[in-house]
Amino acid sequence: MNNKKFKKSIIIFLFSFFALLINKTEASSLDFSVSEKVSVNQKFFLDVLVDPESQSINSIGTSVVFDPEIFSYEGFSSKQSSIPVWVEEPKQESRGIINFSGVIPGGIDRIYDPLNTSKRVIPVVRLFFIANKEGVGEFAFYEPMILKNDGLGTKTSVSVNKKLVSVTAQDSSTQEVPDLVAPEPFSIQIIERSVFGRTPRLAVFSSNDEGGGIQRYEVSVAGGVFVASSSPVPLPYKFFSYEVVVRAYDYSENFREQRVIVSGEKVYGTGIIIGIFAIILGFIRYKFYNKNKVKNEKI
Amino acid sequence: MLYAGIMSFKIKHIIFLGTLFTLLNLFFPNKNLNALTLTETENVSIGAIVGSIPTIDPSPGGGTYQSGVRFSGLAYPNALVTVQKRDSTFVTVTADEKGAFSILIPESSWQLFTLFAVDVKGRKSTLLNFPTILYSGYITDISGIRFAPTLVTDKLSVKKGDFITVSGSALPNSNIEVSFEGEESKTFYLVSDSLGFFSATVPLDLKNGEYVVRAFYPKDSRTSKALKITVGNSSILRNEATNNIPGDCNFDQNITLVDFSVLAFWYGKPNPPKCVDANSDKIINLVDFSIVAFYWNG
Repeated sequence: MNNKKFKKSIIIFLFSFFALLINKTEASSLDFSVSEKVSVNQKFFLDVLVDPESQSINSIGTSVVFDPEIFSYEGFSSKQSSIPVWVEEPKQESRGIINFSGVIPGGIDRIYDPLNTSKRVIPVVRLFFIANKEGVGEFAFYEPMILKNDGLGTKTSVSVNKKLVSVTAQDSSTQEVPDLVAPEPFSIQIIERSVFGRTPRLAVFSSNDEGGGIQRYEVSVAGGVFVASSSPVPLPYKFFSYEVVVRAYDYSENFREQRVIVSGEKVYGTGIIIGIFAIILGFIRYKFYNKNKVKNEKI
Repeated sequence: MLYAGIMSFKIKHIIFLGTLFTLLNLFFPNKNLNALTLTETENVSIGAIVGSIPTIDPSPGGGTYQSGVRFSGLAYPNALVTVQKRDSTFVTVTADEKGAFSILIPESSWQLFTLFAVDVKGRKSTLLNFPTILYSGYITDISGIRFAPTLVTDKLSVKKGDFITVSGSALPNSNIEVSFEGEESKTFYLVSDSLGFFSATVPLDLKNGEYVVRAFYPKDSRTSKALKITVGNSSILRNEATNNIPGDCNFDQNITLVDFSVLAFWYGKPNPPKCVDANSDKIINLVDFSIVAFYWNG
């Protein structure tokens, strides 16, 4: 009987062992790096880290969940990031939930650190928070997705870690330096629509802010009011050229303004000209036809 | 007795299969090209030189830098090798006649470096990313980098049994494998000439369907740009007017930020155009971005 139990244990052990071996090649993990203790009103950062487990990955998307009573989201820094192209910049979609996703063309599989060659975790993004009140708050990942750089968008199995941060009474010796620096200058790229495509003409832009990331963009098209928007912004078809103004705001309400003159669309303009020409032709034809008709009737 | 015999037989089998599986995993860690595992085959070494830091003259601006990173390795003979930083600034050097290159970039903090090479015929390599932590007063050496070969095919669609020409650049006198993966797999073994060029016209007697063609050095998981071809009822030449790169809505044969912006416009919207829906599931989500990012060559 004992022998049977022993055999069963061996079978279970071997199956678990090989299952783990198989899963290991498909896994990746997400973790946080953050101070364990902060004080009330202190601004601190939370680094999101990925370990691709030596496989090449090219897409990362997740939500970061936290207690909004204890912490307030204050933005992010793209400079501390491995994501060159954001699909969704880190943004608080609802209280206590920050969503972001981005891609890395070419993929990444490890980090290169000359003083720690065995290090594997790669910084994904740095998120900034302010502690509102004393207590212990948790940071956790929700619905993480990491995709392989294989041309198929294959999902990896993602393991995640949580982090607890305790907030103590305000430390009077530390005073936050106000952020007075505007976001960095940026360019606005205009992407023309294809003649038969359904995608409109687009304005594409992206700025960066060292002090805490971009809070929002506001866009004014052709002298219109500024409207909160995100890149890419579809542009209207206009015969004459017009100006597009984009303002990038940081979390301290500093803003950077960039402008671009957008030319009138040839396709649209040509269409109008052809249309007017057709109406005139139609009108002449109608007049001519009526004249002839009257003449014929008289004859 | 019989039960014990069966039990013992099963355990033996499991142990045997398990040992075999473990050995296979150990000695052949990943034969699947779809799961690219770079560090297993790449010989990239990192070291910090402390002490006498060379003074770098970043002409034409002048000035000195005491921290930086040196990338060195092999591309293709006389190829243009570019190192690009996150903020889009870049430095380009020309590799020597053997394909060797070395670039020193002044930088003092964390940076995501992207390297690519363009061969003498204008064919671009895949992108290599190096997320690197840098320290003030240190030069970080990342050596032993080897770009996978470049690759082009003369046809976009091949009639079953018809010929296709594959060509590209690699290191001089090197063995190259060109694989076709799809409904079935086939690999052709080529050798580059003394100038690094390789070209072969081969018959494609594969089942009808879509295939991904890649070139790589033996036992290297780093591959060329992936090209899509179709084996079907007719042969269509690959030219400027035709392509089938996922996400290339402006048909310029390149996947760049422009294509990503178009993809981003349709992100989460219903009824997206066919060209942006990379996996044809009628939803634009992160999976489509991942597929299009794989073909990025902008």
